[in-house]
Amino acid sequence: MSGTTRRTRIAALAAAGALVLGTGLASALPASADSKAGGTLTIAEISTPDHWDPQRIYTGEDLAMMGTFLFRSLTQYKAVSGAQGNEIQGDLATNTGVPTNLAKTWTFTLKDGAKFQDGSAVTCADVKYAVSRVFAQDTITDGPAYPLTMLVTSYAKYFGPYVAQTAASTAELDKGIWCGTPANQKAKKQYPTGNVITFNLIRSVADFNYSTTLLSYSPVQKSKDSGEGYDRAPQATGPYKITHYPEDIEAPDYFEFSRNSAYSAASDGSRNAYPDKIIIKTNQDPNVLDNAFIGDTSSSSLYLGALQVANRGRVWSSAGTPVNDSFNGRVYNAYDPYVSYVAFNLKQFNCLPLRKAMLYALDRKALLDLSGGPGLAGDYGDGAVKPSMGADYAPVKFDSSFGDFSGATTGSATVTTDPKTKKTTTTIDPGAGSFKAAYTWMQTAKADKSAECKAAVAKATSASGLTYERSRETASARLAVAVWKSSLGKIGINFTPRYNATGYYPRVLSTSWDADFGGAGWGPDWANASTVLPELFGKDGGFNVNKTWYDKKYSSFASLLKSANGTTDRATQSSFWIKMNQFAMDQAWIIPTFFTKTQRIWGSNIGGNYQWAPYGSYAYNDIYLKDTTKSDS
Amino acid sequence: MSSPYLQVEDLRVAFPTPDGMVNAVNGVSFSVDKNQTLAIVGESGCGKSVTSMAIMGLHNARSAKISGKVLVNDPAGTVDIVSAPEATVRSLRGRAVSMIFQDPMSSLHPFYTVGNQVAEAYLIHNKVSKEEAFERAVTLLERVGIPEARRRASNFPHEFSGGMRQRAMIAMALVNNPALVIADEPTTALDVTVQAQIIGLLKDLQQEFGMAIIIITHDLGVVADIADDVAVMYAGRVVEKADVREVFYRPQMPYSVGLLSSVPRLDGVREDRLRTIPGQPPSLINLPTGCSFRARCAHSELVAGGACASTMPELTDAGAGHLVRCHLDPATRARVSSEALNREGAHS
Amino acid sequence: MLPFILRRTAYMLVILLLASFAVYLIFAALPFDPAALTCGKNCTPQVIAANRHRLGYDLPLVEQYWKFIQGLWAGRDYGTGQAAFTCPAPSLGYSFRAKSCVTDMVLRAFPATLGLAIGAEILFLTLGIGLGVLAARKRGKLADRGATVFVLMATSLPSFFVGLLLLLIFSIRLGWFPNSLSGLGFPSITQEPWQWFKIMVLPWATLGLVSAAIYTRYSRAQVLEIGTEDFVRTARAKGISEKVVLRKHILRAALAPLITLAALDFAGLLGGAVFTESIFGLPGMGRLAINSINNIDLPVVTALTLIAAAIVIVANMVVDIMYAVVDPRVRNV
Repeated sequence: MSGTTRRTRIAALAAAGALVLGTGLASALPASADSKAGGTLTIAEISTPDHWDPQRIYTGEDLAMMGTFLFRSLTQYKAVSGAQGNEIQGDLATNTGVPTNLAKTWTFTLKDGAKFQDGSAVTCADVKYAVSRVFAQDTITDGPAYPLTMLVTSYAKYFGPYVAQTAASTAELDKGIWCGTPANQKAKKQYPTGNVITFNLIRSVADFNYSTTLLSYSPVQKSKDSGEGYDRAPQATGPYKITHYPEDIEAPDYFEFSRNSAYSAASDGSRNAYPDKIIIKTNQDPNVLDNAFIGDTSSSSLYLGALQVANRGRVWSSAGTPVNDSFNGRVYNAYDPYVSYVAFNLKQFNCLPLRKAMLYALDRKALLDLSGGPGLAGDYGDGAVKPSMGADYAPVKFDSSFGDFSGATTGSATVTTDPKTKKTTTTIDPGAGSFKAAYTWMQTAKADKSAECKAAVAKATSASGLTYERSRETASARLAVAVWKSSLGKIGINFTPRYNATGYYPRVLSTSWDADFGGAGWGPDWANASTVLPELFGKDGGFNVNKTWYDKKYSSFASLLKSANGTTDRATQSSFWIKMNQFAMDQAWIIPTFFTKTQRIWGSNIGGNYQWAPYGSYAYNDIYLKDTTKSDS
Repeated sequence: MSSPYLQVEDLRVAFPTPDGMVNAVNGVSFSVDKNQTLAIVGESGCGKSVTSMAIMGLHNARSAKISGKVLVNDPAGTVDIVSAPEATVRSLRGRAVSMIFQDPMSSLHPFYTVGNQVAEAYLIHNKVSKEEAFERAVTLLERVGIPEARRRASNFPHEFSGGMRQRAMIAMALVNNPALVIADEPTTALDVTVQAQIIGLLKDLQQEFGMAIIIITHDLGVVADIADDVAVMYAGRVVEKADVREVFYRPQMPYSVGLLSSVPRLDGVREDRLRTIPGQPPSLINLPTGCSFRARCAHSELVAGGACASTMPELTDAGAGHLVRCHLDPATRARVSSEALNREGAHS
Repeated sequence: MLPFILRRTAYMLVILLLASFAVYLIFAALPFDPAALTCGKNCTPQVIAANRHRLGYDLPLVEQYWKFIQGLWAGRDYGTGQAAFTCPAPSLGYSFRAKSCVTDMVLRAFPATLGLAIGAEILFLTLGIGLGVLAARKRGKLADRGATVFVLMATSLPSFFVGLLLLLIFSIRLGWFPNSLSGLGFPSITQEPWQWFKIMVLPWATLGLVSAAIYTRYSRAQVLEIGTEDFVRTARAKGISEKVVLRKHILRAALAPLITLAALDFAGLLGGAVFTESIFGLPGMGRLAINSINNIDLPVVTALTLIAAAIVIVANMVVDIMYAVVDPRVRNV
């Protein structure tokens, strides 16, 4: 999931309502009906979620919130704190799925009693229909594309349920998704109203059951589907349903979740659903929110969003600890799942020594300090994979003989001309960090005779230099660009920043992108680097800003990728990811900047909150109102 | 004989301007009676229109300094327009004393129908219903010779021809049966054939209604047609006043002589050039001492002692009510006059 | 009069049609690809092509335009199969960003703009013309000089500056009037009329004060000039009192040209007073336009441009007719 559009969601319960909800609700309340249940939870955020259609949701916080409250999928993450949260369990499925055929076939059995909000039972047909919607790429946009790349069903032959269905297209869909067991499929017997579903994949995917935690696999009733319109009226399978959706999405009043009377906790067993009501207020003014949470006047609310830079100092010291006790128990400062980096456009920037020179020249300490320093902004990154990925991560080896690639890069090269002999001598002050390496690589680049390097060096040393793609031109953006300018300028590289507030990602992801480098951020879709390295660097990856296939050495990466995908042994897979991360850094496809941290704050009347590892989100399942009579809505 | 309806005594009107005080009217006196027509003639700027506006009391009190008397012998009581309160003067305006203006196109409101405007004049001074006023308007429009008067009363001024518009103005001026009608250059904006019709209409109406008419014009043909008496004005003063025949055949003041001799005559000797009075009228801000006409008068040396340069001549009776303002002795005047006029052949 | 009206209506329809085509052409010539703007991530060329087909942007321009125009009386269908939906007539298109039929968005935004326009129009007409006539009548005196100073000040200050100043002083500092910036939402005129009125006072004042100055200047000049016209002299000569002369004779002629101004100003306001709406957070057409432009929401921007053009065209026709009602000299043209 991309790192720059995350939103946190705060589920707030509207207090005013009574808990008198009839027998249907009795089964929805947790078995241990202690004082945690009840109250109205308010969630306040600065922007509005793009999508409420399960097949179109793709930001971490949205997946966490909507997956906990509104939509059930085949599997889910365990709602516990710590690293254990990265483990999966069945949600609609009785278990985490049964792989056969070298993990090319996966079979799930649905639990009894799962229902949609109108009381109809969830069947295999509903799950199959939901996944088929992903193939209507023109209508169901913005969601994860894994079904398209994993299933046998070819997106070149099947175009989703909205176009006229032919025998051929139906057969194509059936190839990938079958309502029944693999044996049923062989016997050509399908049971749409049954509770067994089989997925056939084009290659072995050992962690396919992680991808089924995504809401792409959350069921949808065909009768209630309206394509685009489903975004405004999705049908819930979880403990809450949407009872108020704003009329004008450009100026929304609020969203409201109330208890879903058709939901049966017995068919679930893992969702707590403590609050009675959840009110979500979007499009709020950031200053107003900052003050409300710092002063704790919104004590029954969650804040989905980061404090503005100007207000951060009122809560956090530069060391990353709260400045006073009023914040105890309602803030956290933790690593989020994201990695930020700068990607080179290999379509037009194919000179490796020059990329390496830039990689080593950047003064990352200066950038980190701009973002709040190590206490708040995070650590220096060394690649595309974060240490929190466990076995999939190993420190990247750089040219250590040239210095230490971390922290500040100071140092300079001065050229003096002897007036008598006219000889020029260059004195290098190595300073701290990797300046010497940068300088050496720059010399290598200048000496390189290949056509690409000659052109690249000429462009980089010209007056306007390279083009650096950026999004909104803000004060902090200009400060960051200044750091880049001074870092690269020291080895003689110029560039011109190109600001554009809208459409950043479509632009850099397009094959006609014409800048030389631009920033990006990414986090794994689940705890496996298979959702990072192939997505970022694979030819079919959904987030390949670099256009890596233009690199002459790409085939080596491709074969590593093939091996990684081909193995079903997790440990072996990990070793391949490590090799691929190293390869990407050896080829200097990116300049890694930070492994980012995030600081969050919420109201003091909220209990049970922690950072939920799989999404780096709030622990929606465990949040409750301490005093259920207090409400912010 | 009863006192005349209108008596103007030593009327003076001056306008303060950034350049100085413009003395437009400098002591004008005359009188007009019912059934009588007085023509006031003179060049542009001699003060004739200012005089007529002063008679109506139409000058803005802020921008004009007026002194003297304008006595209207209304049956309800004599009113001095110069000193009376605005409300009193307003009750006379349009009812006892009304005015016909020069350009009927711009003098009629473009947005209201002609019938409406004529009826309005009636409604102001009479408490009647709108329908009655409209009927009266139609009657008057018929009387002034507008064909299909009832239909045309609902037309707008721009739908009338020039002559018809002037007739409508006359109707408007007469709707309240005024005792005095002031016609300020009523025919100047019309073409010649229409002019004759309008003047004829005025004469008819005077025959029928018996009102006094003051007609202001620079057209001597019109004067000859309609006037009983003529007052010649120059630089804000009356310089000659007499019976119309007297003024035409025996003008005494050199200015009047000049005016009359500048009119081309069919029975005269054909000359190369039209006769003019040389020079320009004096500035009304800085009036010269002595006679205002001195600079343009060919005969001022004939006056002994340079009186023309030092003293303003008084308006004196040269016999039988013929008033002249000139230093020349009567004999010289008569000689100058006949020389000028007999050049073309005498008419007596 | 009727043939005049019919003729004018016919001209108006022709011009509207031409204007709509011109607007459509302009937006088609823009470098934005509306299909590419409908999808965010995972935007492969095939998806864009599929969207282009689904939204009808692969049709020839004239056909696209025709479908758009047709939507005005027939409504417009989008999508196929289960995903099909209709924007009912009069359809101005569909915004994929806002997931709403453009007509609905416009109808939601229009009341705020209408309220702003009507209130501002009343304010600047009464204040402007009243002050102008007063200044003309009391020419050279204190009232006239005061009016001149007011005109100078108000025409020198840009409307956004006045708006910000009023907002800062009277709403934020003194708190006399509420504002809709604190995220409390905009009160509905039917449900909270008093709150709505209070929140509209400052926007009305912003627009009204600046525009009033123009009307003061015009009406003062007009009254002074008409006052010297011959027909006013005739009216006085008839014995009409000054008050009636002013009301019946002078004002009717002096204010006739102001009708044109006032109607066209109103038409302009209906298109959305962008600055004022943005400053005060009013959910009107101006703010909708700004947001749509920032988001490159082409269907909405196209529709708003068209609506603004249509309002001006219709207003011009209405003005022609109004003028003919007031000034009979114009009627046979």
